[in-house]
Amino acid sequence: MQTAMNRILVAAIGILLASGNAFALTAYVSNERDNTISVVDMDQMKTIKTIDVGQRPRGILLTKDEKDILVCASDDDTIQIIDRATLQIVGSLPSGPDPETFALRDSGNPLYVSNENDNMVTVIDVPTRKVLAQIPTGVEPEGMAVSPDGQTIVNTSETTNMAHFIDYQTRKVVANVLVDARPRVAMFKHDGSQVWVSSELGGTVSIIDTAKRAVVGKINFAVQGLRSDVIQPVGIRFTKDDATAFVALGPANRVAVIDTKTQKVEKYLLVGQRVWQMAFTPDEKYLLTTNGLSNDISVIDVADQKVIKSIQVGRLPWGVAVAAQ
Amino acid sequence: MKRTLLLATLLAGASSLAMAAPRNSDPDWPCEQVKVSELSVGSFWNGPAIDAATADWQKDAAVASLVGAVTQRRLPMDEAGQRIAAFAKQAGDDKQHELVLVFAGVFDVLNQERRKVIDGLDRFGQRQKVLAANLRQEGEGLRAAQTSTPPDDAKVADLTKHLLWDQQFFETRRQSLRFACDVATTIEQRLYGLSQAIQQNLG
Repeated sequence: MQTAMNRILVAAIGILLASGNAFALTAYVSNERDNTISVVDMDQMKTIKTIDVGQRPRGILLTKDEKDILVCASDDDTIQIIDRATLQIVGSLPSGPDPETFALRDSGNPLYVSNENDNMVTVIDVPTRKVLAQIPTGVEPEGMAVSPDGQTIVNTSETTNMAHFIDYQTRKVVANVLVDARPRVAMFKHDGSQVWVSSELGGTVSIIDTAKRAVVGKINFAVQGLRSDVIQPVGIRFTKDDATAFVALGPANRVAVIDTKTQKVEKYLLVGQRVWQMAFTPDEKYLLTTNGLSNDISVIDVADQKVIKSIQVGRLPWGVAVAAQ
Repeated sequence: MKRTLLLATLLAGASSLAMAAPRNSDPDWPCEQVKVSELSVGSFWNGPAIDAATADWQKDAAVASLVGAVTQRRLPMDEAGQRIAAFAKQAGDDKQHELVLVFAGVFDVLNQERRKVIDGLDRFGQRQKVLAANLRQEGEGLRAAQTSTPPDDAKVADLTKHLLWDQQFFETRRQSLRFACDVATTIEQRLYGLSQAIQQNLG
């Protein structure tokens, strides 16, 4: 009996060891200058592997089933598919020219891609890897977001300075909302009531009411000892309860912590250099920020609102995605 | 036909260069990243105030000597970190005060160094714009010569030669731009690394 139990135990340990990183909390970081993805073990809090990918990797996300990593290889005009189990590139998606960022519908399909040099949003059916549509928007499309109910897609355009609202069914632009100069990221609150848009040159975040499709508030940033032109908002993330928003402020090297009810900044956390995009760990214990100049990611303890660690990755880290398992 | 093709290629080249030009609120700024004219203490420092009281950091000989050493880019960052740690240890009870002065000094020196680089990049951007305008003008001149009657082959050949030469000059400068922009970035990275080392020793 004892021997049988031992055998089962040994087998169980064997399975655990063989499955390797499958059980570790893992973050994937796109390194724009190195043309790589850093695989970061969040339990050990260190980079454990580097994957070679296409040129100028920027936007990065996981498929709904978390089996694959999708990465925009902007200068190769493609989206590469990386199998998470083997960390090998297993295919590509027809992104259109210069894909920068993208967003998946909550159901896992389709994928909406901003084509920076083509003034288009490309809609891709992920399972068949086919283009479903190309939607003309403003000049230099940038940020992409899909509403939680999946009915509205928002794309920002850097030069037109607008957030374009696209209807899911008709795939047509149904509203254009003017925001401040060079809009970057669009992010819906989890309840779908608002979409926030960061403006890199304007130095603000515009709060757009989803139903009214109008700007209903604007967040300004002021940090003591910081010139205003250094404040260049980019990444935005909301906690699951929508109570707190985090906004990455680029070369200010700060992340603003905002109370969404009062729309006031409560804190500015000093992170790495040129903070760009962010992602929560699935348990929302940590928020990870990519820092383009210091070539690291900062780990923010969300509850304590403190930066607890810097993890070195490749050169010019751009985006980050975290797997739930 | 061959000449027309050549001209078309040159003009297309010039126009694609114009399209690839970096976008910024300052039209002369040549780098891809948004221009930041001056660095801010708040981007690097979470410690005690950097103000009038720290402006005279140079009067403290030990601080000035350390600042002079660690801001030299040829000194590896690891070694700079070790020197800062050794300085902090030696400062004893004055550690806090002295390290704040060191940061004030490091910030002053590197911000000044970077400012010179930014001024140089501004001039580079302005000059590149003038060169691009000249290229366009030369292209138009060549096109006019090609379509003139009677044809002046010698003039067309001469204008083509000049245009090719100027195009090459423009392109060489454009290619060196990334490295020039990286100099400002390298200074910022140095400042960030030193700020981190100083703040770690503050405790």
